Amino acid sequence: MITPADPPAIETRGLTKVFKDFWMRPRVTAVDTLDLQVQPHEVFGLLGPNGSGKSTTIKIILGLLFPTKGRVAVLGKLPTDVAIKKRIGYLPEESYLYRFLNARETLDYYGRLFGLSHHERTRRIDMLLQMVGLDAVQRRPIGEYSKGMQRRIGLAQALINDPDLLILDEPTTGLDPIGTRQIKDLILELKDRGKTVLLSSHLLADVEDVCDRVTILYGGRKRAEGTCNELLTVSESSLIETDSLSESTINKIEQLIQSEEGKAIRSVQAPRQKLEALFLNIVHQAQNEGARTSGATSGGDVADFLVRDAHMPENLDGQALISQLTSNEPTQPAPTTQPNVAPAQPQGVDDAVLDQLTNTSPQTDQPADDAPPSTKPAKPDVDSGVIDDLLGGDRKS
Amino acid sequence: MSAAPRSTRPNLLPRYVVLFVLFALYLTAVNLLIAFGSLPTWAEWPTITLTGFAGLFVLWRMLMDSADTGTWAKVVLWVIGGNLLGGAVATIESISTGAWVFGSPAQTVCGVIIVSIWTFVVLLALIRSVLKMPWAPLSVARAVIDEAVSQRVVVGLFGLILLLIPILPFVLSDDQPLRYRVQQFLGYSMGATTFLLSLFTVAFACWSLSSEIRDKQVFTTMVKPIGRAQYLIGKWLGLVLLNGVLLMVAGVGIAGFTVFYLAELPAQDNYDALTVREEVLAARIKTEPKPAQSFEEIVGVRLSELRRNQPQTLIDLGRSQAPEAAATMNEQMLLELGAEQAAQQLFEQTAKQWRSLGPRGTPNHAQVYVFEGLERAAEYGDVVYLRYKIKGATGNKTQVGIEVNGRRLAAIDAVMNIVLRYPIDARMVDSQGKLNIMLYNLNPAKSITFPVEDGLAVLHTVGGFGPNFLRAMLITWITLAFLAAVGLAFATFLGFAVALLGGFLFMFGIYISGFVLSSLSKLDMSKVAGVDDAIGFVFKLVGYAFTYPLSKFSSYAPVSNIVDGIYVGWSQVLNCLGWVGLVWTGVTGLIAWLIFRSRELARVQV
Repeated sequence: MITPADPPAIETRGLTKVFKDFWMRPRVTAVDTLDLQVQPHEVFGLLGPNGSGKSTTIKIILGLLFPTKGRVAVLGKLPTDVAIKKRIGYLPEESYLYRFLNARETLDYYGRLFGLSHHERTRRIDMLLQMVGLDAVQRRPIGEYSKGMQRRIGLAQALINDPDLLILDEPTTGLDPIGTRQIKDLILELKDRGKTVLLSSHLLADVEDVCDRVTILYGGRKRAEGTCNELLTVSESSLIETDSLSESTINKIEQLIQSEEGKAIRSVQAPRQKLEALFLNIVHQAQNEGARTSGATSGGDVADFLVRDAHMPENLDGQALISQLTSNEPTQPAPTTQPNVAPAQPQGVDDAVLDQLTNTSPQTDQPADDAPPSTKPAKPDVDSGVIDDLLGGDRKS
Repeated sequence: MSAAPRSTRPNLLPRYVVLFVLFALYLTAVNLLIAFGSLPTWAEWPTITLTGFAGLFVLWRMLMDSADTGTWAKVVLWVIGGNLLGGAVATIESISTGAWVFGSPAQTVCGVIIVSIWTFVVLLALIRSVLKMPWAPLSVARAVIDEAVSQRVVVGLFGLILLLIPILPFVLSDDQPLRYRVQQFLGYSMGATTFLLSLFTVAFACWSLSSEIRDKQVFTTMVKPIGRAQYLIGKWLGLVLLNGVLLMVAGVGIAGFTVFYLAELPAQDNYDALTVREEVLAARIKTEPKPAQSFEEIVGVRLSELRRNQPQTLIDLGRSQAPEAAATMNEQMLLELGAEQAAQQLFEQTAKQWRSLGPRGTPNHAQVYVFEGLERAAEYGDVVYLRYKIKGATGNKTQVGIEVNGRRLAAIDAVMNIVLRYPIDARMVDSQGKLNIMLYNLNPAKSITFPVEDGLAVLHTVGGFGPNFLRAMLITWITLAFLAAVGLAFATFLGFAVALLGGFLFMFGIYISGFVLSSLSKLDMSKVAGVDDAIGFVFKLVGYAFTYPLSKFSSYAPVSNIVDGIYVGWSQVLNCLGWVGLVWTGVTGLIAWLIFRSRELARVQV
């Protein structure tokens, strides 16, 4: 999706932020000569331990802090430019919303800041509330919400303007695993639609699951940058996974490896389910049993106005979509693809195909290797069927 | 992936219908009880008040949940509901007592309270609904109002105003003349309202901005397409509108009690009743007298006489003025110096003489006072009033003769040191709007003096109480709008506590600036022991620098003008709007914006 013609969505050059004390003596260097380039239509991860300058960088990008040195351009403009804010959505690291407004009033307030008409606001608010699973509690003041519920409404307000650039500061803190998975799915959906997402987190799993490229910060300096694949592939070892094997088979394999490569098997284990998958299974079961909760529900589908692009052909069928997606490899930018045309989910598309799309999309940047461009989910660690079931209970029924 | 929005908003209309039916049943029950005389008299008005509150509660709930119904449905329901409520209460009132809402004191209290609450609710609803327009500053303004409502600040303040105003008329003592009671009520209630709202405005302006920066809601707002100036304007607008609502409620209460209750009470005598009607609940213009011949002319004549006849006296006076430098000066120079000194003395003497009448028979026993600009006096009233006060031993009485435009009238009775009024037929004002009043002393033994400040004035009515009161309230509103800007300006760079302190200091500075300025002008530093001239100069300069720019504020005195029945003109309102509302507020807002624009809203978090 990266087309060279587009300017970077976010670009910083030699960005430095030094916090000074009352006497203007430098006290803390929060960001140190940072060069960042977030390309349009990519999901970019800002990774680092607590206090590594992630939030400071984001706040400079948003114009809430001013850089001490260096340059920042957001969507080709200065961060202080009010007009570009129309295209930005921001989820802060904590809920900074009015405690006295309820969910609906909150979204209405932010919708009015964007100058959305009454009709448009009502439409989007309905969809967003349903999407983040707060439609049942929309009349309660936000001050009474749990932390996770506040995150959800925070996410909804970040999406009210259907932003081109979404900046998420530690979006999954305080969320239950369902909400976490949902946010990840949402990020992938938005990416599919051609949105740019800047994600800051210290939760590595989040970043690994969704980000195209990652920068790791420490002490305000860039330590590493690249695609997840580049950073995470351990080229010195190989992993083979099959159905459970008998001792004798394993011995035979070992002998084969010994004779062919002169190497030995390091370990043999039964694969463990990830806790995330286990948790999702349990909740799924409870929901199936009809257990009640007064907290947030698992939420609905991604709001329609976020998913469907006006200029997307409605009759695009699933197969065409897949081929469009899989052809968008960063190494081979399709010259004919318009920069803003993003693959999205037209109405009437086969649900199963869409589910798969959602899960395969992060893999589109990876080299194809030997695997055929199949519709098979490329993530072995998460049971995507369970998630799909959970997130859109009516899809598979 | 169908994201068809299912209807997520619960329909609350049935709930309203139920509430309305319950309300109607309750209303019928009360009606029947009163109609059949089953309700004791003492229970009637509390029941009626309760009815009003119940109805208002229903409407209030509707207002709060108003997002459920469409805007037009809301408007229709409100109009119907409001009429139902007003009609019902009025019906019960007329059935139960045969009197209108403003009958007995108790009913007046009920009536005014209900009307005040009604005003409050309707205005708030109206403003909230107007502020729903999708323009960023309006959105911020609405959030300010919602915050104030949710924090119970406005409701608390509203309650306080509502509590204060109806109680005041009843604590005022019955045995003093009605005019004083009316004046006291107006003074206290308007003063208290202005003071409370000033405190509220400064405090809430500081709170609203500084808490939002501290609790970081400003992050989420400022990353939306809203400039910092727009944000500040939105905050200010919210505060101004809130003040407008509260001022309106207070105004309805104050005017309601004054006109429908206090003014209807029995006066002590005819004079008392007339005073209330024509001098307190009126808008009058006060005209200061001018001499028939200007002081400068008189002094000029006297001085040229002196130059001609007694030059030596002037030379001696000049020499006594500058004994050291006199040796180097020639006679002409000394003469000029003496003449200058003599002119000053003569001026003071003439002015003093003009305000005094010598004993009957002496050449100075009569003086002419010219009052101009009374062209419209006859339009509004039959009489204009000469207001006078004579200095002397308290309690002594005297008589003063009067001739108006050449016609002799009945002599004036005066009691020393008391401000009194003498009615003059408005038709006596001449075609140029002038009244030439000659006063002459009838006492052969003693001279009399009219003090400078409130010795003599002509007052004529140019309008009624209502419009005048409205204009006074407008001036108060404008000054509150300025205070809102001041509070916000402080909060752009200070935390709540310090901003509040600064705002309050500024506010009190404004209110006492007129007093400080007049004190400064009278303060003679050379007479203060141990203070050097230079230090004294610096002291005065600093004092002036701080108070002079603010002293304009105290020149608008809507409360004391209303209490004295003095006309508050549109020109005064516009002047206030121009200076306080545009220039001062504008400059304050500009400073606030410059600070806020360059301020980093986030803090160190590494």
